[in-house]
Amino acid sequence: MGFRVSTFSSYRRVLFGLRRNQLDNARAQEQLSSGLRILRPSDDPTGSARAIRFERQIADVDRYRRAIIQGTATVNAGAAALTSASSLMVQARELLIQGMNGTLTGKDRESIAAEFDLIRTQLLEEANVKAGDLYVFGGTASGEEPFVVTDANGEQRVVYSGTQEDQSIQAGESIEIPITLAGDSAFAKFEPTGTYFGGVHGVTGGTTADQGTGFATLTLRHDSTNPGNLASVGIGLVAGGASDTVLGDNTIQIDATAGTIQLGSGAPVPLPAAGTTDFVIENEQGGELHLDMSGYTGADYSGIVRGEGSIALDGKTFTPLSFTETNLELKDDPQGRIVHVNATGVKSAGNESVEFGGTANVFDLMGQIADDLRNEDGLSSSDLISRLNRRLEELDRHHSNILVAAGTLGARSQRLQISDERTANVEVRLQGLLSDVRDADLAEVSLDLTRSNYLLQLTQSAGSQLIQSSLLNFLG
Amino acid sequence: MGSLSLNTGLRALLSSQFVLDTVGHNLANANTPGYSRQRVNLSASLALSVRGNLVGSGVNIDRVERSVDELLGRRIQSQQSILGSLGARYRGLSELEAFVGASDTSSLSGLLDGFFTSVSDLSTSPADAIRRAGLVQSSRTLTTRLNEIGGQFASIQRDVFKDIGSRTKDVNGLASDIANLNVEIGKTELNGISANDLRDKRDALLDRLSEFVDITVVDNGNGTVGVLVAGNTLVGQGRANTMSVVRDASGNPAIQLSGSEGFVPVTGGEIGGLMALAANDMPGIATKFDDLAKQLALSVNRLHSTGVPPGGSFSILTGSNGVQDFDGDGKATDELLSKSGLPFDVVDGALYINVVEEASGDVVKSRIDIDASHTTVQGFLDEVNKIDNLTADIDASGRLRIVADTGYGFDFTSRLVPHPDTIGAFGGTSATLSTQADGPYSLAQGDTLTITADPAGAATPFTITFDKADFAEISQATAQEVADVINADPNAQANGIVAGVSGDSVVIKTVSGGASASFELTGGSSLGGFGWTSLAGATFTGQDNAVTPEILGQYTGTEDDAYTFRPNMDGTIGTTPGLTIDVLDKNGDLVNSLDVGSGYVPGTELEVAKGVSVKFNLGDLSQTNGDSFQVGLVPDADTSDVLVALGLNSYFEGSTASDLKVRDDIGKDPSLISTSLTGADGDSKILIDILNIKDAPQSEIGGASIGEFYGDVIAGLGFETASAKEALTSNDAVLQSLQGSRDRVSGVNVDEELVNMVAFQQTFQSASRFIAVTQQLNNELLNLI
Repeated sequence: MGFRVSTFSSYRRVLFGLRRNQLDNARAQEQLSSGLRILRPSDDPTGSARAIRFERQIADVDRYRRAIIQGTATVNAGAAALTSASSLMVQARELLIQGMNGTLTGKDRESIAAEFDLIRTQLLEEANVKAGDLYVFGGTASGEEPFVVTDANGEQRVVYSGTQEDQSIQAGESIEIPITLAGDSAFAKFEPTGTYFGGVHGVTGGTTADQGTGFATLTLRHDSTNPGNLASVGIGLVAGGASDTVLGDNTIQIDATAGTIQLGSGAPVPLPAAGTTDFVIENEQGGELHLDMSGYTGADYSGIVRGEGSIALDGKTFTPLSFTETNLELKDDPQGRIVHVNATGVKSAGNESVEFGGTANVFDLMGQIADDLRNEDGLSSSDLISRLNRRLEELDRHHSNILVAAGTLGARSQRLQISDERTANVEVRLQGLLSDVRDADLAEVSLDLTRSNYLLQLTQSAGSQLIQSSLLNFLG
Repeated sequence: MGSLSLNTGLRALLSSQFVLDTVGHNLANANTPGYSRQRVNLSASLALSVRGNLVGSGVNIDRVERSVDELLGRRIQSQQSILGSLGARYRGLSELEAFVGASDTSSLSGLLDGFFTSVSDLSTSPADAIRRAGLVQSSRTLTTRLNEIGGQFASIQRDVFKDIGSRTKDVNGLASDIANLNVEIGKTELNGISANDLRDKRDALLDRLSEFVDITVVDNGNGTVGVLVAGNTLVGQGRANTMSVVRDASGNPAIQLSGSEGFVPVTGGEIGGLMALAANDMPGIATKFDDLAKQLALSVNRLHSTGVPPGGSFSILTGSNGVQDFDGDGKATDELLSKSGLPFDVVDGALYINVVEEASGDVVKSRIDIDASHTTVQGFLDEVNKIDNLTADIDASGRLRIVADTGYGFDFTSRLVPHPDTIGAFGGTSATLSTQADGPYSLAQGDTLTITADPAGAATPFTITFDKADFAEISQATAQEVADVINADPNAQANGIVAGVSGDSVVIKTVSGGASASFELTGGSSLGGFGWTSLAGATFTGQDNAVTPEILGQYTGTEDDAYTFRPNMDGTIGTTPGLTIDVLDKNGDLVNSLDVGSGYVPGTELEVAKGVSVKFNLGDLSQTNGDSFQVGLVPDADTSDVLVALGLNSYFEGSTASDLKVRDDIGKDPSLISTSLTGADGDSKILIDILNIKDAPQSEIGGASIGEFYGDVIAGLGFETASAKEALTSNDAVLQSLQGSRDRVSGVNVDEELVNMVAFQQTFQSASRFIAVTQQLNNELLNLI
């Protein structure tokens, strides 16, 4: 009896087989309808871990691409602004060269100056360009206008309020690409060359280094006039010398025979008509001496007239001058400016412009050029041309900085593009890998389904036959 | 003879009928689970001696037997227990898998990616309000999902407990049925009859019981069985104990049996499987999610706490985690910081706090050393309170609060201090004299220092005496101790002389500044100790133009360092030919030599090293006076994790999967997200650093990265589930085969029964025939009479 088969166990075996085949069938159907090979991690733990890793990497790549798109927009906006800025610089250069033509009239220069003002405004707009919400040229201070017009000592000055650091995006694993640019490197690069004085009133540099940026003004003030012995020939000062602008020691020579009077190295001028009460004579720097000639005795005269005065930087603290100073320190504390001057050549009062060479931003430079073209300092034509020549160099310096910045942005744009292409390729590859791991091979699954269907039918038919075959069928 | 033959025929008839009845019973129960085929044991009756010959007297019914293999029965029961345990565990794991393992965007992995994507989006425009709100939103989606998972574990734990409870009720029902059957079988078999059907019934009950718990069945020999669960009696001869489930000390389910001491260690059956699920599998996976939440909070908060929002520094900050009173003395402040119940560990390290003066933007950086085994909460508070313009206290719920004075702010960034020369030791307006060498200094008791303030004027010299009582160790006098002694001297105060510390050197200077300020180093026995012997009698004069060095950039080094700046000669910046400033690192090695002589235009930025730049303005420097200043360089402003532990300027609150959330006030006002080191709108340093933690190995999660970790957990759960399923399938097959074996012994084969039926039908017919023949023979005999 060792080989007995119980009827119930036959049924049970049929049931067991049916159940297993139905499970296989259901699983194949599930795979086919979802298109996925792994529906729950336990279907293929290794595979699902890999799938999760690929999904994560795809999310990373997606993130990089989103950042790259944002970054590209910003960088391209910056590059476009710099291209426009560059062509504005070309225009400015042409205008300046026109302005340097010695034959121009003041009116012609005025119209060029007006054009300069316009270019300056346009350039400022380019420098404050926005991409979306970001100011491209503010460094990391991308939320505020980087170039702000402020009022300094009554003059319009542009100040860079951005930062030195660039804002970066993550364009790949440990790949950071800066998308904004510290605008001062393009429009306000600090490349100091030294201090330049206006050359009108005879101020020259001292021996100690100076400190400051942009353009400043030295104010030479006339305080009093010491006429020397002029009274001996009956000549007096007008209103005690209140309107004089002459400073320092000036020789005064009256040649009665030739009928001329000469102050310092100024041109000798004819003596005025007798009885003139306010006769103005100028020295070589245009320092004016007002003389009351009404009591002039008609004698020759040679003596010294000394104008006492004081000097201040940006109108701050006035220091009396002895005109022997070779290294006088003058300060504008609020602006942090310190200049050292040699005052020995000073002969006239007035405003002497101070320029911290290579430190002015392009906007202030243009403003200054416009002022120069209007010749607000009253320079001689040759002085004006030489000053404008220096301005031209400065303008070229800024232009090349703008071009360098445009090149930098161009390179960044290219890096972004390369990163974008690379991440796009990686994404395609990862999608492929993910699909290999996670997605069902439809052909294979269809085959599985057919096979399990077939097996199920086979089991069913075999089972029904087994159940039918019994001795009962034959017992009559 | 006649009666003997009739009797023989009758026995044959009766026995055939009996067998046919049994066949009928077998056929009727062919599909009854647990039924064992019954067999009638027949034997030939004893022969009778008839006239010296032995004559058979027909057939005898001995007994009706069950066809059972007891051993196989036991094996099936233990296999049922194994299968029950595996099945319960598999079902539990599948449920977990379905909950945490979904592989789509709503999975934790997708939400983590979403969080980092929002961080990345924000980093492209850190001040953008919409992107900030977006980051808060995706952080919340992430934390909500983590909270759900944390909560789901708790709820599945509760369900498992309930499941076990309902199964103990089943066990109790079965146990009492078995006890009742024990009694009945005992009674029945007292009469010598085998209680086959009752035994079948009891076997079926034992089979079902073994699905719930692993049992040992003991045959008592009198027809009753005892049932033991892990050595404890569940069913005695006629009585059943009651099984119940309670929670043990760690909150895991535990089984108790009435009449047994302590807990019963059930390992098999569905109950055993559920217990293992509750005690091992679920806590194991739940812990992993807690670890993930903790690591996420730790890594993000570490970076976030050392950043500032676009507005810049803070005027007030309150921690999110409170310290606790552990020793029960009513106050929490005397606890060690590292053992005050904070959710994150405080380790040995240092915290740097910047105090920013809002009007000038000047920063003073202070360092607080944290020693995990010594720093107490109060000690830490005291250190913070020592910093000028800051006040710290502990509120009622144990949270640290730091408040800055009006006009000041504070933060914990690693940014560089823009104007590090706070005491003006480097070409300031005051007349200064610094020690050439760094402290500590070798002084002796009673050493003196004689100074004459304003030597050109009418001032008289005054002498400061160093007393050992003012030093921890006078032969190792620190710069700070020396400065304190000088500042405490009334003559020094009266003469407008103060002392300060720059780096590790002592700086003596006049209170007033400008070219008219001066003092003379007149003499004293301490000059040698300070390296000033050659300067005895020298006069030091102030200047109008102060050199205020300005530091720019961001330190890119990875180690704490300090750069010391010293001029190589006396001279004026931008003027004196050959004037350079040597920059030394903390080991005294030359890092860079900056040319600030005649070619240098004051205000030009000079690059030092590792991202640090410096600007000098116009003024005089003196090597003779020991002019110097130091810049502290800190790559990580909090190496002690004290900020994270206290929850100061954290991004996430909480430290487990169930309680992680975005800090409340950040949730309300996303502009508080600390994105930068500088407060500049476009500075996204902190965000970029947060992006980098995603793929960096992390300690709390076993060296995996946050990105990998989830995949590892899911794969681990997948492996567990798959192997549980595999084990279930293979053990099911074993059970099938064991049941097949039992069926071979105990199962009913209908065909076999039918054959028996036909056979005994024939026996019956032949016996009937035999009786008829016997009767006929008897009739013949009677007719003879």
